[in-house]
Amino acid sequence: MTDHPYKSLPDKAFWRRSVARPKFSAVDPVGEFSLTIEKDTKVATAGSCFAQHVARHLAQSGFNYFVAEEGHPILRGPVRAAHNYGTFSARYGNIYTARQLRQLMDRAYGRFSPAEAPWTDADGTVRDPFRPTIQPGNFASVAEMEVDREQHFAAVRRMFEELDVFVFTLGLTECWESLEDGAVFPLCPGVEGGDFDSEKYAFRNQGVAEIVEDMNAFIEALRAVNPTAQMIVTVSPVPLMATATEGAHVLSATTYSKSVLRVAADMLTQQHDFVHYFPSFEIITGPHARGAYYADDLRNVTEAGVNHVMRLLLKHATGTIVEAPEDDEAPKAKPAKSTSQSEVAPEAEEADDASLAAARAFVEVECDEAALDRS
Amino acid sequence: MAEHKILFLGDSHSHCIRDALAQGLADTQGCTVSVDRIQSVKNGKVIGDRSLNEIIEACKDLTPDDLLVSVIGGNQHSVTGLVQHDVPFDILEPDEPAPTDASGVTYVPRSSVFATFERGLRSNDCQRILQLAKAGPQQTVHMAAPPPKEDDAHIMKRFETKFIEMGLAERGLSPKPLRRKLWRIQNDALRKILSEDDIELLMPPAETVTESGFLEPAFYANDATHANPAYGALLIEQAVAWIKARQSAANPA
Repeated sequence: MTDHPYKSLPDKAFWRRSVARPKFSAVDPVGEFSLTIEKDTKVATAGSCFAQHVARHLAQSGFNYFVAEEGHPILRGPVRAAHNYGTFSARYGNIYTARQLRQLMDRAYGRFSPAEAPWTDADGTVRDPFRPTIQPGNFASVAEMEVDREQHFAAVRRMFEELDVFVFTLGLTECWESLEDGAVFPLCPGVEGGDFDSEKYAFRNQGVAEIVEDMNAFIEALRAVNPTAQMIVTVSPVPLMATATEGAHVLSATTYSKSVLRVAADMLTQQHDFVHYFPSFEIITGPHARGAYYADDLRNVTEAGVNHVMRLLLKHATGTIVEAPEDDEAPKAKPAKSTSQSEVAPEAEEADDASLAAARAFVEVECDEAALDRS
Repeated sequence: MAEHKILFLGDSHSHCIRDALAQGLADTQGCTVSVDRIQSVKNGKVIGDRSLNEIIEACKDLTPDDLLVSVIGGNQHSVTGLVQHDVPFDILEPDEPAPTDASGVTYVPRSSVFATFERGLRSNDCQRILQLAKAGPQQTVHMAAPPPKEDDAHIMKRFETKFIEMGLAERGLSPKPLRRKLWRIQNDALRKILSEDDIELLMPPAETVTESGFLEPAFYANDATHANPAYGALLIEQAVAWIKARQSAANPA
């Protein structure tokens, strides 16, 4: 028997030992992960729907989930959650593509001002074309939308400048862009506001080179304002809702999209020692899970799947060991909560802040004293 | 013509009506008008006349010719925006231009503020209003709280006394336009919720509101948020006019 390179490899290098044999909840496809997250490390998140779960679990696990745009204290907690404050570190909504992330950075710093005008609904309310579902009930006017956008950009700048770790989940390669200046939209115009016009908008399906270029432009801009920033890149395991690729089946288009994103993520980790890949895609989609981490719609990820991802992220990034559940408890096919499914954070009426508490005390005393004749 | 009972129910804003009745300021046109402050317990002390359950029970004796007028709640806008917040904020109304200088002020989207008011009203005041509306065969309306006061000096008189220790005088007041915007949003939220059960929201009598949308000083009570008996008298007459107009519409002959 001759010696060969495989003889000295660890168990994780072998499919049977690390994927087929272990309980599926014990499968750990994290090869190497050199980033350390401490309790006070400021972690910011952005990306597609799946990134919302990362944000939620980080906040629940006692880590310093950095929210730069929390919403004004006069808004009650459940309202802030329903209005997308805290869903991500700033109120940008889902950022599905690398191009969208790059343009967000450029827009926040005034290097790019898309020509696209605000979208006005039939009832006269206004949407921001670059986050059309961010404001339930929409903005009351163009002026209000523009003021809110400027405040949002200020929060985005603060986030980029102050974060320690930026977690970005690559979601899609397909997007719609303005033919006028290349501005990309999170949703095709006409789906949630706006009017589709083939003379104004075009479909784009990004390839590896384009995504790597966009991400590198973003990374360069990030490091310019925050030279020590670290990045975790993941690929969303959530399949495409629909494809606009001509003649394509949505399953095939999903495979293309996720493959491209996975390759791009790997290239970025090879190019930058401060960019770290975390395999949430593999944890959810791998054969070990036998599809059990998908909800009944075969698209949304179950809470058990999210828990598996977050358990391994905490283990490798923080050293926190969370016991895996028993595999004989079949994962429930109930999708994990995300605001894209119109669900809000758990009800939790927080106490008034100091200003509101003082004002409430004053008004209550006034109301009690109304029994006296003060006319 | 049927005789009408008109029953006002509420919290602190019921007092101007009580005083108007006591002073005989209103022309009730033969209607039997009464007012109850709904009981509540604050700091172990019972405030008010009858409990909500007692009033609900009493509503069963009313008839379809009678009117229940809710003046329940009404000061959420003051809690939110009478006193200057540590994080100064403003709201843009739909027809308002963008500010030329937004520095130092957080602009909160109107629909987010609306949602906060709606949530609070649904969980408290509107629940009580609906309970009462469904308690008997009577008709039910709700009256909006008096508009905010424009006179800062009048309001600040209250801050200069017992509230200094709370730091309210140092905080100062929110800008007048913001106080008015919050009152309007509160009414918009109320109108939306109450319309789901066909309960009409009656706005303050026109003569009590200044051209700029604040409470006419002639109707100020001697505090920061309430109106006086002269205002209460106009509310009584507004309720009398409403029920008589309903009767006329139902019996045009």
